[in-house]
Amino acid sequence: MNGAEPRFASYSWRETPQPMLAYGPLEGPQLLILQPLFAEMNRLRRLLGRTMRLLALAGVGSWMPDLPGLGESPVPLAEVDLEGWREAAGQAAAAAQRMSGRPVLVAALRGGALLDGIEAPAHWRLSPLAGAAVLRDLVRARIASDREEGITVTGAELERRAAEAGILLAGYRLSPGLGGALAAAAPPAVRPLRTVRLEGDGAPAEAYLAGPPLWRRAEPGDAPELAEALAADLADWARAWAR
Amino acid sequence: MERSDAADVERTVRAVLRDVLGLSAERVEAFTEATPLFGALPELDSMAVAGLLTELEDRLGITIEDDEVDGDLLATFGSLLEFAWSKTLL
Repeated sequence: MNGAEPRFASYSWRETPQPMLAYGPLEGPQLLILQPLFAEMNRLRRLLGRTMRLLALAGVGSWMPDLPGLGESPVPLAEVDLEGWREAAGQAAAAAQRMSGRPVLVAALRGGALLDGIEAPAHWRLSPLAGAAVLRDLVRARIASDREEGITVTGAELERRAAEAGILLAGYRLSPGLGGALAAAAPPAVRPLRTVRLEGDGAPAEAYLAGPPLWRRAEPGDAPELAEALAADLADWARAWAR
Repeated sequence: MERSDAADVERTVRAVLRDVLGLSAERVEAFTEATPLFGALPELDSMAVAGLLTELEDRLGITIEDDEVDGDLLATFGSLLEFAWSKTLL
């Protein structure tokens, strides 16, 4: 098997198959990659593809599920709530473990960390953030696009509507169980945990990598040097825990 | 964040424009106070405005209220810089 070629695997969530991209050997350390949420997921897609290829070349297998309602998932986002996403992350980890026959470590990026309460030998996070910050970004985009149409609305008003009735924010139709729950969600406390951030970020972390915060880019970008730095950090960490 | 001076804040604002909008370092270095932003940079759409504000909050350690965000804030590089200074140096 050429480990640098992608495989199209799947996991099951509430009896519906959900897509999961996989790279690399089935021997050696195995990683579940939890993508950022919403627009940030699209912005990091290319970076993560590169990172997974590099991990494969370094002998690390990786599995990246699309969450229900996002990416290539067949489920409408409006039918998903935060608990459903957490359940899906757990199902994806179990499927990766079954297919590789090995314990699976969890690497979560940005808002993906909100879903990592998974039982695993070790956890790794890149620039995790609170659910309120994820929601705030969506609300801000909605305020800015409403303003272009001459509509004035406050963030507090939109957040209240998100919690009560479901809402369309930045092109994403959120159920009340998602918008409302996000506002209060924090990345679950897990151990052992390695947190990594980008240089220039003042928040505490075990390591700071050089590279641009591609998740903020309006247009999806690419940063090969950041993919190399991420893959190197992940591979060293994964090997240490897979022994 | 630590107490910062005007030059630090300006460096941060330029870095955020570069990182969020995907502009080259040379292009952002050439911005003057009169350089128009919103409406002049195709990269700066409503999604990008959200990312820009959030990244400024994170890197400058400030909070930006909804009612502080209007067309004038992002009119020019100078107006954005004035705002960032008013939030960090006072």
